[in-house]
Amino acid sequence: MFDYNKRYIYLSTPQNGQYENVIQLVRDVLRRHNIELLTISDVDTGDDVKLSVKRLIEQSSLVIAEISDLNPNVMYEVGIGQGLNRLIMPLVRQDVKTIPVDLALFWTVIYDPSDLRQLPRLIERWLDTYLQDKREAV
Amino acid sequence: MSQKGLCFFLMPFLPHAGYFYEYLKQHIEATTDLECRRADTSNESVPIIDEIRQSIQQADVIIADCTGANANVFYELGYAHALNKPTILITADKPEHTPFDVRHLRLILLQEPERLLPHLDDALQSALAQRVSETLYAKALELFEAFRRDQDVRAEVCSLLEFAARLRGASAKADLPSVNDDARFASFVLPLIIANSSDLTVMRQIIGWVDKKTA
Repeated sequence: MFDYNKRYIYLSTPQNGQYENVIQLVRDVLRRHNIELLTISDVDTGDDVKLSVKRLIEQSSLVIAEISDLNPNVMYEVGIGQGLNRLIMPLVRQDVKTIPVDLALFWTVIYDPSDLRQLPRLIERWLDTYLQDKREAV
Repeated sequence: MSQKGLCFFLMPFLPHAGYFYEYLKQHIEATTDLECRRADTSNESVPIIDEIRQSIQQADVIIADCTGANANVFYELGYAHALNKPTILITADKPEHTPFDVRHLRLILLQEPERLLPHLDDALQSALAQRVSETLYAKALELFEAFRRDQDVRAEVCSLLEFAARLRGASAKADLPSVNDDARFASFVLPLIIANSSDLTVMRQIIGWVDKKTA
């Protein structure tokens, strides 16, 4: 399940500036758990994007993906995460009616974009489940 | 079980996509040794996803229709890239409208219909060559490990890219032996995977090792 040897989590969001607050909140909550956040902005300019994204996800124990807009880049990165057997945490705004069939079976974090203060708690609750799994496994 | 390779299509579930698929399937099955299969991502059925993942795992080559940047198609494409599957991307959109993560990859543009099939043939040929190289590289690595253990050899292996280039050269001069023909296969691929191909001591050790194994 959650691999504690990996201190990174990859966050995938559309690159349109709409999710800057979400990115910052996720970064803050992970920092409290001593986990570093990786995003597409960690890919160096000029690098092969496909390979670099794959490398970042390989380093990560979990892929958090904001899938509300069905953004193809986000979906692509979720697919890479799944192919590499990484845990997937989909984030979905509460106004979204349907999620893609490929992600229908994941445990999704549903949040209210007009009140982002609750997002850290929802993410922590999700992570706690895996922390719990890990503690029980030890 | 079919002995043919599998060409798996990732496409949005749209009526016109069905005709397009049939057209490409007919061409590919008539000109290659591949069998085509299509993922119908109908959005209503959940268990179908397991079948799609299984088909991607089994596929020798994957063709993705990126037109309209369909969410399911891109998820499946990411899954295929994670598994290092050779992929061919087709789109009716302008290249600059293709999602950022895959924009730098080679795209076959449907805006040039007369060039579609020649481009597809080229892409299939290189995708299949890549597949063959990867398979043979993996087998050559296994043989090399056995050779190194038995002979206590201090040699390094070359990269997959270098191996693929050497394989192309070697295959142009002689037919590739069957993987079931142990001795001939080992004599063919082992020299190709040794990084320093001019190291005659290692080359002699390979000949001696293969002879000993088949004696």
